[in-house]
Amino acid sequence: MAHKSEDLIIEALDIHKSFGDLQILKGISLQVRRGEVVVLIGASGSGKTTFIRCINLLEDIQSGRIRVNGQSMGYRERADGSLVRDSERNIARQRRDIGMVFQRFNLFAHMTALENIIEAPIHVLGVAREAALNQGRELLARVGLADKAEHYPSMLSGGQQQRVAIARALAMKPKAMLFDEPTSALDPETVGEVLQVMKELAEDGMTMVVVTHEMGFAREVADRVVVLDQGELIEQGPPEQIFSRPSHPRTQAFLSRVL
Amino acid sequence: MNFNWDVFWHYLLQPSGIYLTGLWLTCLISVLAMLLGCSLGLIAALMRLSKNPLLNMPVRFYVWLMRGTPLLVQIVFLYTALAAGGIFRFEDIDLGWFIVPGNIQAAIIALGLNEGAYMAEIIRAGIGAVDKGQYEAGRSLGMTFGKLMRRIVLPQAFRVIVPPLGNEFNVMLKNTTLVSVIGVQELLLSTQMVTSATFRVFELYLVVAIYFLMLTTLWGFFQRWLEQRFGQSDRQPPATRRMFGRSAMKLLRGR
Repeated sequence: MAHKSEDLIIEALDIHKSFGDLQILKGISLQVRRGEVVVLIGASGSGKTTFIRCINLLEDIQSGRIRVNGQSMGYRERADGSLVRDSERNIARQRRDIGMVFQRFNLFAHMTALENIIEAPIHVLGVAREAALNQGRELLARVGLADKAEHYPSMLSGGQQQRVAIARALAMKPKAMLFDEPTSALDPETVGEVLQVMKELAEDGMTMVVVTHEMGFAREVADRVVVLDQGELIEQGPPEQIFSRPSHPRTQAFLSRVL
Repeated sequence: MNFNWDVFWHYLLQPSGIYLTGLWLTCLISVLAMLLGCSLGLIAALMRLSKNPLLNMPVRFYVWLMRGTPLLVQIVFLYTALAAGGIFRFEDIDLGWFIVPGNIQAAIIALGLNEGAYMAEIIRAGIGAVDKGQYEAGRSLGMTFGKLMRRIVLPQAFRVIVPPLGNEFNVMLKNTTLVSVIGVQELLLSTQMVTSATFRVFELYLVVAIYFLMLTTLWGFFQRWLEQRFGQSDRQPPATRRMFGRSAMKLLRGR
């Protein structure tokens, strides 16, 4: 896939990750272009969640390179090309460009929906409170929760919490959004509302990397489906190709189990 | 029975100046020592959470030392033993309008140091009760460690910390009587001085007990208000976590 490098939002090169002796990621490379929706699928334990957590440095990696929007993540390059671990402050700054949505929502429990959304714009980006509040209300309306601004997370359903979490990530105006199994912890009847918000986001041109078990979503929304198995990227391509003519036997085995 | 009601009522209802000074000192020392203890406890708890042994080992040692020796010994050691050993002497500090005697400084520091060790464990447990997902969410939004602690973790830990913190202050009020041994004229020593002049021991110790009971009762009302207040704006944690929080605190307190 030849693309102009400035179009690449996420570049992960040969990522290795292990917990002790257990190798989780065995050299995964992935490039995501601006506006592209990439869906990662694979069996539990294939390393897909670990992989996207590595992209925004929630997990340390043993080797490999991550670049987001052309900027090296987590490491600074010396003049001679060697890598040094970046400072905590710089890593925090780099993370602003990437929104993350978690399986367990992780809304700040002591803040209302609106406060959750305006927290980081005000205290990380330094946006004026009034502007942050306006943006926050707009985002809540965008995810269909304008009437829930003053509700605490415990008063919201799982699906509503996840939509607030998406709005919270969007409030940072990220270059890309990572979704870590965003519907896995939801009641079946609220899965649809979250997928709908994600679909609209994709249509608006957001660059997205989504780990999910929702094959319907992958088929409908993904530009590219990436299959991981035992810490390796075994196959990738447009959804129709992966779902109808998977070439790798392990992809075939996985799809036959889940479809 | 040798009990004089007149003396009892007199000292209970019309306390002399020496009593009022004692009461004032007891409150002042408690509040200042508690503030010192909370600050030390917060710093110690954050150091203790660090993976760096240079940061967490000194805290382990500090907690071990403070919890392993009697508070009374710590007070005497800090004020009398250090001075006798020629290591450090608490001098009176002249603030212009008020002179802070050395023994009151020592009292506040000794009680605060001791309290810091208990607060460190309480705050550590409170921070530990905050869900790991809250950290990840904060990090993913670009927060640095300091901002994450200040804005996300500590406010949530605070709910868990408030009940044991209230109990700590209750204990602190009563522990101030220990600094009478280094000559701080708080309530107990004031009482002793009055008894040595009047020989009304039974009546006056009954009065001092009632004074402490009033102090701790008043504090109890305030504590209840505090807990309710912080329960309102916050989410009610599930009953299991609330119970775990309280019982874990009791275990940690060890008293």
